[in-house]
Amino acid sequence: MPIHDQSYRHWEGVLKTHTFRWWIITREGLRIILRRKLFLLFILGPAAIQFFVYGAIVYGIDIYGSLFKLNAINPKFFFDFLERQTFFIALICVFGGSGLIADDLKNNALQLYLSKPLTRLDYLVGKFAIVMLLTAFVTIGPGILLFTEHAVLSEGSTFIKQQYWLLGSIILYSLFIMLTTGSLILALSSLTRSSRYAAISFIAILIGSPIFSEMLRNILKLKSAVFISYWQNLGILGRRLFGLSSSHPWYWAMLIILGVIGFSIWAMNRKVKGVEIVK
Amino acid sequence: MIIQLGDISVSYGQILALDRVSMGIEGGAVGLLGPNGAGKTTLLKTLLGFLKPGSGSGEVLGMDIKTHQLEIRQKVGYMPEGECYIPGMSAVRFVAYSGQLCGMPYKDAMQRAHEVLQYVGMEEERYRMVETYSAGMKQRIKLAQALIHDPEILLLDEPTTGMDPSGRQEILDLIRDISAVKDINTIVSSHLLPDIEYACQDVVVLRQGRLVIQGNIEELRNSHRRLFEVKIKGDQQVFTSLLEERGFEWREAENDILRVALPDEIEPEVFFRMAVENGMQIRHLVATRHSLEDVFAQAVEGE
Repeated sequence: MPIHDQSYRHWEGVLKTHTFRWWIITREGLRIILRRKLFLLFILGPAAIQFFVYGAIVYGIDIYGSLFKLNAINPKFFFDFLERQTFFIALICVFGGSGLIADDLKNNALQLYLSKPLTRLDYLVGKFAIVMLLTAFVTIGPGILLFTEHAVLSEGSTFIKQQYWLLGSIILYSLFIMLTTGSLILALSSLTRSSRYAAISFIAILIGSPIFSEMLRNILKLKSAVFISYWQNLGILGRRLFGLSSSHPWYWAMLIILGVIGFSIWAMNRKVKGVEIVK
Repeated sequence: MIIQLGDISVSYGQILALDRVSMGIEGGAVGLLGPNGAGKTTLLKTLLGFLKPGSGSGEVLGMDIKTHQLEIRQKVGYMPEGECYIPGMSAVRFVAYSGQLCGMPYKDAMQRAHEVLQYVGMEEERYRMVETYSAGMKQRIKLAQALIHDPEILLLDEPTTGMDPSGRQEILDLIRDISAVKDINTIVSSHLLPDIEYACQDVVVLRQGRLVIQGNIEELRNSHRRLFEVKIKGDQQVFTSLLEERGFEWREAENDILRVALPDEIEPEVFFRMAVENGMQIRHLVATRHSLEDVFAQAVEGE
């Protein structure tokens, strides 16, 4: 006869109805992704190394720059850093984001989620937050740290007084990159039951759109074809945010980026809803 | 009443999946029976608030299905039809995660996940990744995730699909235990009559989106019509056409035995008269009980 029978017993606790239900999805999703050693080793690791290299440059210039008459820590320095990080963002989206909804569709998990006290919005926000937090790790986080490092190490308070707005530029540009790429990969993930197809489509857009844009520009001499390129739009907007010159109007780039985000949200909302109703 | 529906209609575009269904469920173990496409899954999804009814009203545990979906889902456990799981986690993690999604604290959810997995017979396999399980094991963890938050109502959609006979019997025993001993109201949707007959006390029969019959299985079996098993020597086709001429309902069972329902006013001697008049012999005549299959057949044919 067992001393303690571990059979079914009624649970006496109280179920919580909290506002941040989506966080449970985010936390579990992050746990699953960050458990993958290859993801840490080949994506987050190199991204961290790049950040440390930039950090070392800031340190070197701030401490020893006067010796070599260097003054390279300007808005372009931060813009270049974030632009270089987009490579890692693409990798994060491909290897961490492509399966977020597609795998649930493949395994019919949506009905499990939605049979719990969760709304479709909770589900989507939970999944979206996974991509946002992972991409924040290589954009907004290191961007702010670099800014802080320079602010602390630079002589006097000139930098803070003159270029305090750079902090806003770093945050805004990072948010634009995170929102666009995050919503795009989730939308593609929601359009298929295969994470592989979602990843391939994403890569096709990232690589294909600049190639197509360049072809149109060279063949048709169409200057506005630059807006077809996913990266160029982000670049144009970024240059504007960092006060750098650009030969293209930023508002068109902004409009296209907002269009991509809007379309992605619409697609996700439609697909998640569709699966919920029709099995 | 744990569930009360009034003239509920649900459509998928042009297709009417539920047609003015009205019913009340008091509790216990209730079987939702009907052929494929009868509207069983649609009814369950409507109760969960996945589908908005085009017309009519409904309440689950006194909460409106149109306005209190989240509150209903917190008190209801749902085991969906077919294979479904959240990939990338072990069974214990998956079940605990389900509990957390319902609003359980992590510690409680994890502790209870172990208990519930033990209860459904998965104690030895609980640390394996979900995707490596057999179909039967996946059914069990689906049941576990539905039970984790100790729901007041358990909705089970085709719970024995894809299971081997022994596994199927174990799941049916669990369902009986859940409703009878653990006191959780259970609604089992199935097209398998023996499953419903074994696990439930009450039945709701649906056909083409309409409620055909509802009631206690035992009472329905003892309906006003008496049932007889008849086996004849002679042309069975002629005999069955004679039965139809007289308006008797019949259906074929195994070994050439016919199950014939007689109205109250007709005595079983009628079978002998029919046989003699047509040069046949009665080889077997036994008064029998209605099975759920008979009730189902009568109800569906009556429609």
